[in-house]
Amino acid sequence: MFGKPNSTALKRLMTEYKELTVNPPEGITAGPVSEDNFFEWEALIMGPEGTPYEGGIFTATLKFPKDYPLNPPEMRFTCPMFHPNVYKNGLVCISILHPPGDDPNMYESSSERWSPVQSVEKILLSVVSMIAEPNDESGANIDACKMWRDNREEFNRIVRENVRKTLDL
Amino acid sequence: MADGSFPPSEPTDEQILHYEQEVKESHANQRPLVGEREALVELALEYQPDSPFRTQLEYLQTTTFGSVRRTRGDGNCFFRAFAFAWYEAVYTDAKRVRQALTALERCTTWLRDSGFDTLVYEDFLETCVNCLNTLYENSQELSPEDAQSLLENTFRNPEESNAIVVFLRFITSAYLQQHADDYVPFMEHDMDLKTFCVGFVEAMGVESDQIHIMALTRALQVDLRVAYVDGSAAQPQPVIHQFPSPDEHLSDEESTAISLLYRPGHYDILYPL
Repeated sequence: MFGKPNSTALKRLMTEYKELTVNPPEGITAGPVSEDNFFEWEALIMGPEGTPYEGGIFTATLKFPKDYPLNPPEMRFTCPMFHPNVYKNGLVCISILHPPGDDPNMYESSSERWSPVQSVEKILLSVVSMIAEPNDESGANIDACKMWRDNREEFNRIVRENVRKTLDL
Repeated sequence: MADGSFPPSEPTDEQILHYEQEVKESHANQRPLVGEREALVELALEYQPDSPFRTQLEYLQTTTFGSVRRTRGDGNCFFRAFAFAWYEAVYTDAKRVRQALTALERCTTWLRDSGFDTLVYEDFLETCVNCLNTLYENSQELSPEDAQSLLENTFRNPEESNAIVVFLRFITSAYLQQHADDYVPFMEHDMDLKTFCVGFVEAMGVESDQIHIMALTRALQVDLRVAYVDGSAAQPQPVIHQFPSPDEHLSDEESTAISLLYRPGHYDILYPL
């Protein structure tokens, strides 16, 4: 499934990149790390307003499988990101990045899953929503989950500290 | 884990998922996406002599279908079997190729009306169209054997084969959404049609039910017979269903007819005697 890159995947990624450049969604920038490799992208996401993430600029990488869009990319934050749905190693865990059936976190059956109708833009928009509204039912970072539920003040403090770190970079 | 099969440190969800995926893939990869055409009796002989599956297959073999072409059990077998059988039925005939291309083109209206972005389906449609055109052109120049090999190789190449599967999944979803009133009564899952389409039609690797078959055969105007070999001892003569249903049966003039074999959880291609 992860064999040689296929031209369908490359063509689709080029189209999506062009589309994102022409009509960038608010607060999101994304594109290939280098023109030689369309299968690895970098994304910059602005912390949503009205959340403790506000003011932060969060960097992430997206690694696409060779058969994209049949399978979803893997998304990983490359900056400090304390969030219930982001593993400590930065890996983003939301339902849109998993096909139906692959259910590591027992998502509700109605939650949006990966299929070839999804796109980088839809993933990034879902990630922005996820940042604003954590889902503590399907936690990836258990400490962040607990703190978000039980000690919101401390949670917000850690997040704001991370925001400052992202801006120092 | 109670059976102690995992090392003492619990694997992460990610690792479990990866492991399951590997098992699933290594299992599925043993069979080509689309196999060789073989006598149906060969398949029957894989079952024990007293198996009701064998009885049913032997019945089909003596009465209706002489051979079978097997497909990989990767959750896409209905769509892949349908696509192969459809392409095989039309690719040597200019008029049928034109009809098939028109049918594909007609589906784009339903896609747009159902809110599919062009960027999401255009590459898959292009592959469907290009493959069919290439197969037709080659069928006019190559020997029938070579043209046939080209057809088989096209469907064994994951990139082209899966692109065709994806596009058929999309048009099935769009057709269902544009004809919601006809299909909601058939919904077995307790969810709305849109959610069903996203999770159970558009997604790769998710198995198909009758509702997918009804929608796809109507969307593409293809006559399909499905022989249900369900292993029922009480039913030595397997039921053969017609899609679309006989009362809306398309006339021979305008439709292409294909046949599939259903065994629980899997579809293969059948060829009449």
